[in-house]
Parts: sequence; C-alpha cells; structure tokens
Amino acid sequence: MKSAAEIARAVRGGECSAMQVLEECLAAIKAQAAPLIAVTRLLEERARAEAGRIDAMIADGIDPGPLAGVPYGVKDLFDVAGLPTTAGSTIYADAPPATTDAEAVARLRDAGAVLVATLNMDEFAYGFATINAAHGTTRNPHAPSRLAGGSSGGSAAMVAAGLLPLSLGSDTNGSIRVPASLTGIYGLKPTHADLPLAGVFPFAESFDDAGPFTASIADMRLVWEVLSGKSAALSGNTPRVARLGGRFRENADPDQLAAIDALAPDAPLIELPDIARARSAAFLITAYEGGHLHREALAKQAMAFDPATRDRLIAGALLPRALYDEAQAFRAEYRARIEVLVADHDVLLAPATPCTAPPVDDPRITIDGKLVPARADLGIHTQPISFTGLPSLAVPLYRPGALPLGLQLIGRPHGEAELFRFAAGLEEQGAIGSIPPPGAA
Amino acid sequence: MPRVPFFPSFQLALRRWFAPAGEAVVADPAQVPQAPEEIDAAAAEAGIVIPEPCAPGVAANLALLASHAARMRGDAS
Repeated sequence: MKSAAEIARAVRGGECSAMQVLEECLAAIKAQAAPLIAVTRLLEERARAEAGRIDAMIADGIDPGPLAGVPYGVKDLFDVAGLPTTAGSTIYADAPPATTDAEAVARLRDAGAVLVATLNMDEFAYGFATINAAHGTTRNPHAPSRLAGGSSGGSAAMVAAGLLPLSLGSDTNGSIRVPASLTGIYGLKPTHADLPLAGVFPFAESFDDAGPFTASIADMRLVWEVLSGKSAALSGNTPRVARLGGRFRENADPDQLAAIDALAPDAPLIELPDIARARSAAFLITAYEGGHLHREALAKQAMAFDPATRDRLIAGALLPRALYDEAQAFRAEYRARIEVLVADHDVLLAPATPCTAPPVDDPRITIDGKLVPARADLGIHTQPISFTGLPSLAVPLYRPGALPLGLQLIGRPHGEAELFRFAAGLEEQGAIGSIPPPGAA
Repeated sequence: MPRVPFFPSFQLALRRWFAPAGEAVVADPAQVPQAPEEIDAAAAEAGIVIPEPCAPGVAANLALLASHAARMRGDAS
C-alpha cells in the first residue's frame, strides 16, 4: 500500500479518487485480513460516505485536507458515532452507541481521512499480547505463529501488513510501542495527554495516551501534526543524544544494544535511578485505577469479563487507597527527578521490547533469566517511560530477513518534533525502516 | 485450592493476638490484602463477590502486586 502522504497527494491532485483508494483498500482487507484476526468491525457504509464527501469536495475545488482520502482504522476503544464502544469486551457489545466521534477521530476526519475499521485489542487494554477471548488472538504479519503484541495489536498488525497506511491505538504502559516493535512499524506515545483523549475508553488515567501507528517517519510526522494541531519543523540543531543503561541493557536483544551503540557511539550512557521501583509503582497505579474503573461491573457480572483480565482487574479493585496514594507520591517525586536528569538531552535511546515476538502457543518471554508471561511483561522497557510522562517513539530496526525489533527514542516533554527529526535521519541512513512482510498488500 | 500465603496469615494472626478484646482487627491500610480473611474483607468493602473460579487467580495477582509494593518501597528481594 502507498503511504498516507502519497495517497493524500494523489487524491488532492486529482490523480485518483478517494473512492478508488477506499475500494482497493476494502478489497485487500477482505482478501487478506482474516488470518490476522485484527479487524473487529469493517465500516464500509461509513467509509463510502466519507470517501464520497472527499470526492465531492475535490469536485467543488475545496481542499479536503492533508490526509485526503487516506484510509485508517482505530483500536476498538475510540468512540465512533453510531457504534457501541466495546473496548474489546462483550460486556459493552450492546452498549448505547456513541453519539459523536472521539476527538482524535474527528480531527482525522476533518483532515480528510476515511475511517475503515475498528481493530482488535486486549480486553480493556489490559495486556501486551492482544489475546482476546471474544475476537481471538491477533497474529503477527511477519510470522503468523507469533503474537503481534498489545494491547493495540490489531492496529499494529493492519499497518504492518500493508492493509492500512495508518491507524490509531492507545498506550498506557506500552500498548503502542510494544506492538510497533514486534511488527516492525513506527508507533508514538506522545507527551502524556498531549494528543486528544476525549472519547477514548479509559484504562488507567494517570498514564493513558492516544497515538498513531505508521510505516514511515514522514507519515508519523504528518499524522501527529493533524492530531496535535502543531507543526514539526524538520530543521534544527543537532540533537543531544544519550543511551539508557542499567535495566534497559540487562534485558535486551543483542541486536538492539549493537544498534544503539552504533547509532550513537559517543553518546553518554545514563542510568535512570530506581527504574525497577518506578515500574512497580506503575503496576500498582495501573492495577488500582483499572480495577476501580470496572469495580461496579465486576460486582455485577465478573464472569462476563475476559478470563485473561478478570482476575487482574478484581485484584486491582481490592488494592487499598493508601497504597495508591503512596505510589502516586513516589511518581510525582520521581518525575521531577527524571526531568532534571534528562534535561540536557533531546533523545534517549532504549530498547522498545526485550525480545522479538513470542509464539502464540507459548506466550512467554525471558526476563532476568526466568520465563514470565508475555501479556504482563513485554512492557518492561516501556512502562517506566510512561511513568515519567515523556514522549517515546518506537522505531523499527532495519533488519531484512529477521523478525522485527524496535527501539524507543525518548524525548523531553513536548519534544516530539526533535524525535521525528532524529528518526528521519536514521531512516535516511538505513538504520531504521519498516519492511513489508512477504506477500504484503 | 489456592495455597494460603503463610506470611500475611501469620501477620494477621499476630494482629489478632495483640488486638484489644472486642476490637475488630483491621488490616494495615497500605498493605495489599493477601490472607484469605484480608481478601474477603477487601472484596466485601468493594462490594465484589469473588467468583469461586477466580479466587486462585485473584490471590496470585494480589501476591504479585504485593511484591510490586515491596519493590516500590525499596525492598530489593
């Protein structure tokens, strides 16, 4: 599939219609998406109405916007007008339909993009695996016997497979960056709360963020500009880069460490203090907020929850408020400490996931020499960054013939433009880049 | 049948032993409930009846959260 920028350029220039782009996209999805178990609802009627509106604007000489005719999908927790927002759960399958689109969807729509599908996720975004009892387990387009990661796994798989040029996901503790790393695409967790969250089903409000997946850095920058309403200038000073050491280098693939050291051989190695404490505090805050969000539903119909999330949510609902307050106090103090520590750097380099995609039939990974569940622990390197609220862009290492693996480029607060600029340079050098899987659309 | 964690049960027994006569034994307000009595009390307070099939999983998750609480507080073990 063409990039979002190429599609928009062609539609705006009258080289093809939004409807032609859409019909090609729908045909490819119908022919190829089923084995991925990534699509939960195909929105043909709405998509044709949106594409028709774009073509009518072009015919009237009106510019539909920078994403004219670009098809996209959203994780199943964004409000879509006229549909129930399920958050991947059967509990909300018959909920009253959303009356308006989520703000992020509205901004993409107003920029000319065409919503095509809602996409699979771990129930209530609680997991790094996209193993969903109702919809099934999303498969990795590069190796269908392996996980795509989660919780925004459907959104990642569709872009990685070349069936959509962009999609939206959400990231609480790594739910964009983990699947981006495992499927070999770009995924952005913005500075906390910088991109619109209105109309996004919450998980743990202290850390929830919305963000895009794309197959190139140019598309990422384009979509971020639409969603944020800001401009990301491509010129600027040479970024000050550092490598994250300590825990980040203890559980990493050797290829990731080699790539980091090759990308920035002279960059200082800095260690974020108390990283294990921070991750544990993030676990506690997430469990408490998730559990208390669903407390009422758990009281009424616990057995209707996905078995993979039910016990975790109940446990979270039983955590005492005093412990939560203690974790939040630690977080406030920790964030202040980290912001001072990283103030002299524009980009911090770290692994995105500790390994490549684990197998679907044995979803475990090795952390500190022990086998642990992938669902809970694939976010070992992303969760501490969420805790700080810093922006983090997952980028795919360019490694033809090997399973995808990503790095995190972590920025200063509101430093996304610097991350894009640095990533664009790496992409130009051939150090990072998305490789379509065999037989991709 | 889930294995009852020894240490939290032992702590609870100690608190019971030393509690003044007639006074309810209240779990430490900043501790993760782990002993079966603590879990039952926390569930009752939250208005949740833990379904039988979920009990082992809930206990296991609470044990995991207790280990995170300990780590957050600087216990390196």
